[in-house]
Amino acid sequence: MVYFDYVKPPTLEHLLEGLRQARFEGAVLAGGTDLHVKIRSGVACPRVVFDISDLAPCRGIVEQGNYLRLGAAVRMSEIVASAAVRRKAPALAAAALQMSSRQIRNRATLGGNIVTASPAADAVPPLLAADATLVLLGADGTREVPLAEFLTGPGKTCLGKSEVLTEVVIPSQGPGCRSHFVKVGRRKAQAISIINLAGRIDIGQDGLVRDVGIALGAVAPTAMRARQAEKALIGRAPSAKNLAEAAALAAEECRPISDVRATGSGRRLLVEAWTLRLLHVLCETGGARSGGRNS
Amino acid sequence: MTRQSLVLTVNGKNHALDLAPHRSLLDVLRDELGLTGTKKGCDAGDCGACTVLLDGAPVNACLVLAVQAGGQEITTIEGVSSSDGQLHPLQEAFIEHGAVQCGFCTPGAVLSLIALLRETPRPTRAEIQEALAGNLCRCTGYVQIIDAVQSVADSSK
Repeated sequence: MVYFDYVKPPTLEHLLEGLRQARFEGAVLAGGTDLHVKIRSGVACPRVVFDISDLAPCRGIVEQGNYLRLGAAVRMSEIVASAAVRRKAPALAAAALQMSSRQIRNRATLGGNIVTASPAADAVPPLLAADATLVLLGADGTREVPLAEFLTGPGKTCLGKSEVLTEVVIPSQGPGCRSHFVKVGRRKAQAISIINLAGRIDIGQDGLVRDVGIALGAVAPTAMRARQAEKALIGRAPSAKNLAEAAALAAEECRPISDVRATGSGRRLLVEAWTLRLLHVLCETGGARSGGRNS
Repeated sequence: MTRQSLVLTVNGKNHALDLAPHRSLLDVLRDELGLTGTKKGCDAGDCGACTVLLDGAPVNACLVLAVQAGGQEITTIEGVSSSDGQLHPLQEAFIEHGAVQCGFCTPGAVLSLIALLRETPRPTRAEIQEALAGNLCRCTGYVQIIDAVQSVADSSK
């Protein structure tokens, strides 16, 4: 068992000062659903734990112009319950609802899901598909980093040792846009995703795809955008043939590994099948059953 | 490591404690307060045997530090029966429907389902399954548990 001190900083300034003084031996505690497990198994051994679960600047769900700002310590259950998230970022609300169990959702936070940097993190594909950015606070002030650049590998991010993720900024989904999330797991609850994926689409008055974002999880070292698939759709009609072509491209550009949950080639098949289904749901073509959360 | 003094409110009773901050709420409930109805299964948030209510919401007590739970209302299985020892109607229904086999998952399952019934007095089977998703029963007793919840919901019509 690792012994540590517990500090509940009253402000972000206190948090930063605490992290600085702890040098490389401080850990930020938000929901604790990953951190406590890591500490108990010896993967993490912080000397001081800084609890931000009640820290006001990390707790808000705020609509600001065309953006939705979510504090890093907002819990999954709060995302599920938020009318603003359901309206402005429905794929994120769907991902939060399908994550783990009620007990975990009552503790786990959005910031924790991102910073832990699991390639299979369920909240990440919806944020990635929506071009979310992260607000990082450090001694030199804040910097805003696109989520796609923040994640650098399994368990790896560009977050500095004395930096903290305070907010997630999501461009709001416009009135003509649609988004969707799919989790493929062994069972509906308490399962690490075999793959997960999210998409958002904007189809113009002319019936052509104006903009599209497709994000795939658990098929590369970090969640990734299926850029080739997206490129193949922009400016084209969402016909069954075009959607199938995009799904095939997504399967081609992902880089899955084999692990205890699935083989790499199995994951590639899942990506093609579920990207196709995701696109049909997004385009309301009726060409697929409504996207499920399980295979 | 600096110990911390705090008051935990468990089943309506205040307990003044002086704790090492790394200790989980689960360990403190069991080892300091003797409330061993809360079970320690996986100690990693997977099994739900340690489910307690924090301000009415089910959480895994193994993933909460005891020092984080100060100032909140904690309910354990010892706190769901009435003061005269009368079991909660859901506990009665568990017995009635054979929903208790080895009993290890029972306290956590009962608390998850009490939280559900407070929010949703007449849940569908799907809603019961969803509320129970974080409580693993290795005796395969889920059907009896769901039947028990529905019987309570039906009798409260």
